[in-house]
Amino acid sequence: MSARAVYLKAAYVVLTVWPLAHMLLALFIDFSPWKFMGWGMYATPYPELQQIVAFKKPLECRAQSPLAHGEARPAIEPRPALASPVFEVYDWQPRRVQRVPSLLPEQESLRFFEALRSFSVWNTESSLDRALERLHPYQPVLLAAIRPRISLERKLFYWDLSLYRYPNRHVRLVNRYDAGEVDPLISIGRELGCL
Amino acid sequence: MSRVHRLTAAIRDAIAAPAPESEELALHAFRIYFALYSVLDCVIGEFAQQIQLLQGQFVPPFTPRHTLLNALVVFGALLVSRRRNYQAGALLLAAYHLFKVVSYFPMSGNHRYLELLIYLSLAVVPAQQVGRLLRYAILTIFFYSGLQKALYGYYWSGEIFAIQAFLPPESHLVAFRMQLQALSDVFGLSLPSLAVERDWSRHIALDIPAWMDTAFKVMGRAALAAEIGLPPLVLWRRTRKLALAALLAFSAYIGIFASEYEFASTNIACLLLFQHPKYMRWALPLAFVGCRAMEAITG
Repeated sequence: MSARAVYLKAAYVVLTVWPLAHMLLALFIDFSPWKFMGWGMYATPYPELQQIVAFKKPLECRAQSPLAHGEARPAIEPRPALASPVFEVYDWQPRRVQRVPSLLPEQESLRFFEALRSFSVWNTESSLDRALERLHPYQPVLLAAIRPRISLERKLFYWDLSLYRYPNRHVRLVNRYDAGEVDPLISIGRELGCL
Repeated sequence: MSRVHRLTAAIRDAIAAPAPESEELALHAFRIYFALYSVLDCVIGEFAQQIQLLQGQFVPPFTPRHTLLNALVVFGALLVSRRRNYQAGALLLAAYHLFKVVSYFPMSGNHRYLELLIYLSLAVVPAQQVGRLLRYAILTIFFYSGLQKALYGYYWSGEIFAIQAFLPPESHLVAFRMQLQALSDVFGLSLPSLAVERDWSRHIALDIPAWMDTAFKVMGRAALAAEIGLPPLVLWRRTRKLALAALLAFSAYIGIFASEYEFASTNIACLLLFQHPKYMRWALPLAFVGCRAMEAITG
């Protein structure tokens, strides 16, 4: 058998075996799905449709007006306004970071979620790694992995949210919750020290 | 004959040239297709991206670096379109795609890896073997992508389609919803009001009709069945034609409904290598123009 035929056979073997091997390596030893002739999203364990959003330390936080003596706290707390510039929505296209200007209190939820334009099916670790490659120079203090979910059985739309602190270049999970439990903007505001 | 031998014989038979006398012709059309693809990707793509980046501010995108890159890609495309001695051109285009993978890394799209594989194969693998290798590669890609999708629940439950249908309107996944809207208009079906002016922050009850719930599940499971089931069916002669036709239809579906135009057109080009070269004459230009037109329409 000629050397060329051997190489060709090796190419067929690699094409057959490597995707599966890559999937298992990514699953068990945290091997990057995107490197070594990566199988990319097809080797990504536990992928979820999500987008990473980075938050910088706000310049100022608008304090909530204190309750007057005897005033009852409303059943549904009004969502506090977040200071500007408060978030930068990371877009998966290189060098494209969308800065969303100050948010009007009554529109903030809509504006915030409408600014999420680039959901991708990756696992959270890969998404964070990818986001931080581009976002590190912006010195974010908080990162959020935001995942839209729909339960067809319960006919419900909700946001699934993970918050990460980013001190000293280390990503640390703060909490994971879905929007039914708590308003995501309130959680983010709390973590940023605005509330 | 052992099972392994039978399997390898079936694979060999499936990936053999459909018309050995005109395999060269088919590969020539295939190379021209990818030459055009690279030129469009580099010249037009870079141009459009610059304009998008500057958010409407027009600044001439053809800096000296871009001009040199464009010239190299056009030169590579001309070389790869030759009938013979096209390998240098393929290598040049492979270098361009590697540059794109590296410059976008770690955010390079999956289709870039596939294109890189195609150009490298054209550059390195002997002309009489490259068709087989590419036919095998595309079947492997379909099978493993289906396997990966089956390992998590988005497709099985149909949730992936539901999310695309109900995401905020500014999301990049709007093409599917536009098509859904058009289909429901044509067939007079009731589409639930899409949440545009809603408070997105909490649970939102969706008024999803039963037909839509069923349609999402069927679409998700059909996609899984197509990706995992069709490549093995190509191995058997009896089911080969039908399976290849279904894979072509599925690739068109990926382009139309998932807005993965580059991936869909690359898939179609590779799958056409299984067909008689006469189909290349009209199907390849159709895939090329169709995918680009869809891309332009959906923005």
